[in-house]
Amino acid sequence: MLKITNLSAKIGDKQILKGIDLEVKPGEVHAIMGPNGSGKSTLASVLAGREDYEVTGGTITFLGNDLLEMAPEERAREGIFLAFQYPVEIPGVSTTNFLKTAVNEVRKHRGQDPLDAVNFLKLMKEKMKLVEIDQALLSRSLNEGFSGGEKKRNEIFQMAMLDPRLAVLDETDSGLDIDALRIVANGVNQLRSKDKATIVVTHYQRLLDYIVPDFVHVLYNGRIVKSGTRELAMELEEKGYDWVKAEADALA
Amino acid sequence: MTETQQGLLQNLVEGFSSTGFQDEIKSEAMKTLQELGFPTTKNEEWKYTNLSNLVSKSFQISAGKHSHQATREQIKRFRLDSFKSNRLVLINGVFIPEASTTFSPAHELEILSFQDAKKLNHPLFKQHFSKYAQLKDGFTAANTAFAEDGYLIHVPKGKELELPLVIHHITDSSFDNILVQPRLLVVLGENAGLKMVEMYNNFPNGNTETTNLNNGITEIFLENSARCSHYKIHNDDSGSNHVGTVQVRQLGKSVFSSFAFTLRGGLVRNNLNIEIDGQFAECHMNGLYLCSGNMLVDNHTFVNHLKPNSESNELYKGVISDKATGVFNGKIYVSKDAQKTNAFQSNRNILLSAEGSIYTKPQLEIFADDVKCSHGTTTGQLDSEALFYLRSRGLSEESAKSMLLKAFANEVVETVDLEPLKQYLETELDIWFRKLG
Repeated sequence: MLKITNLSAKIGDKQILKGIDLEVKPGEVHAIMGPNGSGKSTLASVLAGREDYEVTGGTITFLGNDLLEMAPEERAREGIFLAFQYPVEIPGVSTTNFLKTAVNEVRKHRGQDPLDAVNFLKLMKEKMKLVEIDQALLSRSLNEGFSGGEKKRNEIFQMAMLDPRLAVLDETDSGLDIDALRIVANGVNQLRSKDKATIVVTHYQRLLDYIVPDFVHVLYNGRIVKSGTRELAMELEEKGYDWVKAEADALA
Repeated sequence: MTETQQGLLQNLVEGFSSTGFQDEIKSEAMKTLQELGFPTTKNEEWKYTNLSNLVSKSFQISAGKHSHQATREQIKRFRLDSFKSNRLVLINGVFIPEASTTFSPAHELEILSFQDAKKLNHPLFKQHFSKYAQLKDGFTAANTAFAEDGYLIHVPKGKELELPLVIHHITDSSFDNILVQPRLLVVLGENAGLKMVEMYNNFPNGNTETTNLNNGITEIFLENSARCSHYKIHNDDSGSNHVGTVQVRQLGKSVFSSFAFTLRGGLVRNNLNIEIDGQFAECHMNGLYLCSGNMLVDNHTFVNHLKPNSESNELYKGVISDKATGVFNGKIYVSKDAQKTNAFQSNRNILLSAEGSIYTKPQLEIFADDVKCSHGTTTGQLDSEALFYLRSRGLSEESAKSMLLKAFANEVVETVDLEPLKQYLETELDIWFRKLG
């Protein structure tokens, strides 16, 4: 589904990604872990097409197409969804308001008829239950005055509405208490299926208790320095990142 | 007087001597006009609004005497027929009875031409006419010197008009450069209520050779506890220019709300001057200017808090694209006696192009010591984070931009207290923002 080959990227003069290789197949959940500043969020941003980052080398193909050639909206329509680490506040635009346009853009791209107001509302009601989000919140200015938990639940709600093939969750656990974490993880889990994939970017193992990954990769200094299964995440939780750093530094 | 001011000024001087309606007020105004001429950019209040091109042209100053070429259909296009209202249609300043209607009974809404008001020796005319708008520049002077075909609008004590009053200022400059100088005197009795809309339109005649200048003055007097909403809407073609003053005096417990929407046009200068001369009075000033092409929109507002316990609230927002220019100058003056004044002002702008300009200047002059006043101004581009967020959900760049601009503008549109007008504005804004994409 997704194939990243020797990807490097920089922001300004700062080289952040220095040769990433990663393949994600349908049905899989990959966790990207790593210490702060290792490039985890950059990878997520590059996948979604954030223009602040300049890709300096390598390729990304998504469902056989060159992802790097696509504008952010084309990626979204093709089925990539980024749950933001820091969801943006947009005064005057409500979730309901922009999501109707977004959902219908995606449907149009897939050759489906647009949803009318009634069916859109029906879909919303159904997906709201997944993340236990209130309709009143969705009619308010996007993320303005939302709590940390509400913002993250709103991200997962949007993901449910847009029904992506590949979801990229960027530190979705940050700033969440245990109850909110459970709600968010539940939402994600209910959206898992054999033809969809998820990339979970996280600093802590905590989230992976709820969203159980098939593969765990450790990103350090712009490279994936270690890959394994869920046990690797447990080991990191126990021992911290220093031993991985030491191993990687010794090789460099 | 400089060479560049010869055109219009000369037309006015010559025109004045041939009018038969001269009186003391007018002669005084004419004298002032000749002394001051029209303001140049050397005048601090007109620093960014260069009129030299405009006033150097020759204008037909009594266009109303010509028969207009507007057909019924053309007039209809400009009318806000979507809502029931009292309607006054003026073409080149001349009242068009067949296009106008008054539903409200005469004991609720009195509309009189100045000529009739003078003939009847109407006490309100005598009491209020030209008592508020000061002859401090050539434009107010020129309007006053020629104020003949104006209208006195009176809502008597205790009457709250159910229907709004919509005044259509239509200009027909298909045959020549046209100067139109509408003048309104609005008097609201104690506890009276009125919502009025002034719409400005020009016949799109495709004649790029001619231009029009609308130099209007609207004086509004609010007795104790009166309430007035005043809308000024420019959605006009690029050959249409406007220099206008809304001059307000409000007494105790009155509420005045001003709404200035400038969506399209040439050069538009809105002066809004409010004197709060009573306790517990409040005024709200809302403005939205969308400047595209070579447009220049200049909003000058001035609130003078003269008595204690009054409140003013101001929110002006602008979007500037292409080579357009936006100017905002908002002055709040709190006199020594005006303790417990609350005054808030905010001006926010989005600049969409490198060639566009915005000049914004908030001014606070406070002479009382127990007041709450704040002002703020911002100018920026569209938030790139917000744009990326919306695009990452599948919205095209164009629709994301237009959604953000609409949200920006909506804060002002939300203040509109006439539902059909709000719908009209929303539709027009949609068109405007979609064009940007």
